[in-house]
Amino acid sequence: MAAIIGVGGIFAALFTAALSGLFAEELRAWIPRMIESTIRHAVDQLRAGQRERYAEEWRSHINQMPGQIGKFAVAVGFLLAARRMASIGKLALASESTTSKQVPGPPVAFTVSVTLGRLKVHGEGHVSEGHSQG
Amino acid sequence: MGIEPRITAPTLKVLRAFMTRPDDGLSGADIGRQTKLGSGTLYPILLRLEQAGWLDSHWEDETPQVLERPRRRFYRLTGLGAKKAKSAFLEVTGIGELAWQRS
Repeated sequence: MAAIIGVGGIFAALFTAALSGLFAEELRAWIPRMIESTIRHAVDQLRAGQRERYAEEWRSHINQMPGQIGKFAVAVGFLLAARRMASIGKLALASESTTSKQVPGPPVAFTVSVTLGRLKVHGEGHVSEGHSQG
Repeated sequence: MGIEPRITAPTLKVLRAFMTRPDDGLSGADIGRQTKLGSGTLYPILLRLEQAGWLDSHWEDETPQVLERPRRRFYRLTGLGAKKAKSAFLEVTGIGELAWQRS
């Protein structure tokens, strides 16, 4: 009985080892794709003007990290970074819009003709910076 | 010039990394290694400091085709950043000048 259990145990151990080896190999093959898709997802959360820069910068950061698990952990961090950076972008835009000056548009020429009974009033002028001159 | 960055402990760690190597450009990965900050914390800080004009950044010179890898982006402390970092350390620790000189 003990011998049967022993042999069964050896087979179970060999089976587990083979399975975990397969699992590790599978994971090694998938992790680079998972990293790439995580970076793409993170970059998509950024403002349009930032995307190209950070896509390259973050791929370079991943490239400098040792080990697949470490690379994946950094890539997951980019998701959090992107969400924070998007909100920083909104804050900066809001601050710019409140501090920016209103740019006056080009002056617009106008002609007005008003007929009051027999009296005809004719005026010409131009509008600029919110007030008119006639 | 953007919004003045908040001086938090992670921000000080980032500034400290630049103080130890003031003349070198540091990539995000270099700064991460030195400060032990995660990427989720590090890049928002770098963005805030850059928007405030404390840091500037540039790509490494070679193209990705020549390098056969993505280009690194190097960050450097600006004159304004150096001044602000000194005063931030002085305010927080009272040893701003000392910390700067030792690096």
